[in-house]
Amino acid sequence: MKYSVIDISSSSLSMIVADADGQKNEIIFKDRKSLSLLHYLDGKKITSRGIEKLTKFVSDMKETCVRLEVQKGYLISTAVLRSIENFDEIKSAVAEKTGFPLNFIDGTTEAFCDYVANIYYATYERSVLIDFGGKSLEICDLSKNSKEDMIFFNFGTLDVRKKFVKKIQPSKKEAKKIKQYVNESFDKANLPEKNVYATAIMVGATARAVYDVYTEFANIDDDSGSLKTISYKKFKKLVDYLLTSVDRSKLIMNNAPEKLYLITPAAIVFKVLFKRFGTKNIIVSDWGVKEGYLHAVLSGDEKGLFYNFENNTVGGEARDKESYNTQGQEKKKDEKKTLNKAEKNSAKKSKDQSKSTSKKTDAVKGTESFTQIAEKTVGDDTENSEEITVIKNKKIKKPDSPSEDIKIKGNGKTEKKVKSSSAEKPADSTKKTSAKKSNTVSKSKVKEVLTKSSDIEKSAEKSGKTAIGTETEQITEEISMTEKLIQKNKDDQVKEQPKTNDVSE
Amino acid sequence: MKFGILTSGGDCAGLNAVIRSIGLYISENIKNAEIIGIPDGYGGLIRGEGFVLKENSYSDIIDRGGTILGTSRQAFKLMTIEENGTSRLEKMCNNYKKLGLDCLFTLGGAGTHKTAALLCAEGLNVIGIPKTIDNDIYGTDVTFGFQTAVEVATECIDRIKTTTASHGRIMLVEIMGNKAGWLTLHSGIAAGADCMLIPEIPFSLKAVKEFAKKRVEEKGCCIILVAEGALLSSEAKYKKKDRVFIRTERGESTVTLHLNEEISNYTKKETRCSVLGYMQRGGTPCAFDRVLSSRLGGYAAKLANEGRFGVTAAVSGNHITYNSVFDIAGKYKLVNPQGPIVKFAKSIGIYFGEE
Repeated sequence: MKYSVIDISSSSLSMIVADADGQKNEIIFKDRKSLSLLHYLDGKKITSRGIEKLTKFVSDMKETCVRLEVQKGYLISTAVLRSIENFDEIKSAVAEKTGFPLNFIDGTTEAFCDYVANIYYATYERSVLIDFGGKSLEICDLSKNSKEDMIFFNFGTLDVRKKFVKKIQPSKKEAKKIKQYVNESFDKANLPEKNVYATAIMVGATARAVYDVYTEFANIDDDSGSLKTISYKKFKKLVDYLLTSVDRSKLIMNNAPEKLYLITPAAIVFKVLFKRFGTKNIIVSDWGVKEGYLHAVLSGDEKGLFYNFENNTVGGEARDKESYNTQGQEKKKDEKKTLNKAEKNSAKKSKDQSKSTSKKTDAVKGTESFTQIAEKTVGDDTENSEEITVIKNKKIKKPDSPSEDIKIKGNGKTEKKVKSSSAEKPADSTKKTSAKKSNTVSKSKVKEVLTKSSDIEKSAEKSGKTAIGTETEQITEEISMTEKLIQKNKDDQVKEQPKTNDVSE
Repeated sequence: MKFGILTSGGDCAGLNAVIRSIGLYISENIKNAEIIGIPDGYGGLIRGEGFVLKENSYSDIIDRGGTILGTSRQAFKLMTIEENGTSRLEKMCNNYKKLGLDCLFTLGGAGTHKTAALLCAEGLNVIGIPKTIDNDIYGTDVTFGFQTAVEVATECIDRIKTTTASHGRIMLVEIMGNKAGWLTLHSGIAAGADCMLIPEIPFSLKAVKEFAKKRVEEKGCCIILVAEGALLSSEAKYKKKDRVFIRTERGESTVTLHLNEEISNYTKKETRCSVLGYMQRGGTPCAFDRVLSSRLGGYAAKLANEGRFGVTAAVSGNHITYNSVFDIAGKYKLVNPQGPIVKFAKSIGIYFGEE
């Protein structure tokens, strides 16, 4: 069966199509369309033109789904629509024009989807996941497995830019203020510092856009099949370049024009994080929320409404409204307070309660998934403090980690032997493993979902052209002579360069 | 408020109609406004030149071809390269401030929009209006200048057909369109061409030769339209600069002359070629383009009045609307080889040079 997931972000709509037969999940198609929603705002509302463009692009992607014979399509939106006042209007317009129900993904679920999609990188040395989106920042320690170790900040690139940057690009002074602000936020959240994380995994569209800019700056020939890595030294130089060089706008325009406003603020924050963590390896992942979300819905860990292409109806299950956060920061603060209060309450529980809790834990383990727990934590109030105690004590089984040493390549040059970060398994782990298998996120299952596809959307976006069909033609004598000419001239180091045609119309 | 207007890149019919419409909207709707004409496109802005445009200089130019402001081509790649301690981009930004502009209208094609996006990135208030005879600007259904060019090309091909038929010849007609084949496609369908070679569909030399031979034997003559950017399927795998190099070695810039020689040798029939050239750019705009240009210009001025910058006017369906200039900068709208118009053309027997 074929599934599609379309994600609405601050600068684009992106889609994956996966062929899932229960045993194997393979991503067979990717697409991306630029849509800078920032430019279609009137105050906190998206204009009618913005809604029109959004629905058109969803409609175009729906047509692609039909062509690819997709059976079920999911449409999700993450941070960008959280603070939009006319969210309901957008939802209705999209449903009316395309039939797609819009699933709103809150910050916690977004972090979980990122985690699921990139769990493979848990095999890397002390790895941490960083997803810096338009309206939020998620940091997830891939070696840990409890929700508390996922840190969520309710500011993203759009917020940083709006708060500190007056013009299009930040000045050096503004960059200092950004660094100060994020460092203070990180200190408050007790974000780990040096020597805790060795590998940073950057995920999300902003990360990929920063990487595209980096590859041109660092003169790297980006082979779509190879691991995307960043050198911290070169990245520091890139940040300086983005703050001072007269060519910075051109560099961004050549590689990520739709993120013109956001590349430099994002790069500044990434640099702060890399420095803070003291990471040795920086990797940019191609996998993100869409891949993780697809896995989550297929495994039943996440609810969502989908468009059924077979009978043109809407199916699935809507997520609870309580877990939505369309009001931005205020509600999140309340949720955090609720959680903190609940945690304090749970700390005062008696031994009897903790005994009954542990029994409950055993019962809960067999039935609750990570997402359900996350929803409860975010949405519930103090009445469920007992369950929160359970959540706190509950450890989700880690994905299967190889016990042997793993060879990884650092920056494509050296090979490092890194031991698996998993703890030693208890003696009867196999029995427990089989009992909990259906409710855990196994690494092998996730890997199946996340088979890399050819980077169709990237090359299409860069060239701005549709794919041109080319046919092999029998080479005539004339053409072969021309080829020889080319080779001859290359050997002779042609002096004259042909004039390029890249002039303004 | 001060509004600057410049026209950049290749000229086309309708530019003056846009200037007129912007001017009339501003004079009707915005008090204490001044319009500054910047000569020669970005070249004028780089030099810091500008002059006040009075209403009597633009109110009666709707039917005039060309541009009263003059135009020039400025390569995007050179915009940020430092010359004598400063770049062209910096000069433009400084001169924008020196001229006291509150907004700049840039009338131009895809390349002009790339530079416009760059200016926006540096904080200038820019509004673009899409101009090209090639109709290849992403995000808009149609650009002004295109329809007039189609009509001119169609009339030319009509005239060429009669002389070609009289002599029993094969005629290659070169149409403008370096990246996209829209102009060739529309004028070819309108004029009833036998074969169209467009950049989006690399053609087989062997197949085209065979087609030409067969068609002239059946009909007595053959009309083949060749877009400027058309390429052989054997060339398609090379990068653009290598293709340009090969052609330069042969003393050609397009594939038309080469094709002419090949077809002539193969068919043993008189084969001629006619390059329509700059006739497609010049002359009075047709009624459709006058209306479209006026609507786009007026809408762009309205956007400025509303304080919406960093956008470009566009046509979507039957509406005039706008796109973010960053969403379209550097992107082209090409003919879809599997799209409905190509499919239709094939269904009525028009050949595209495929194997």
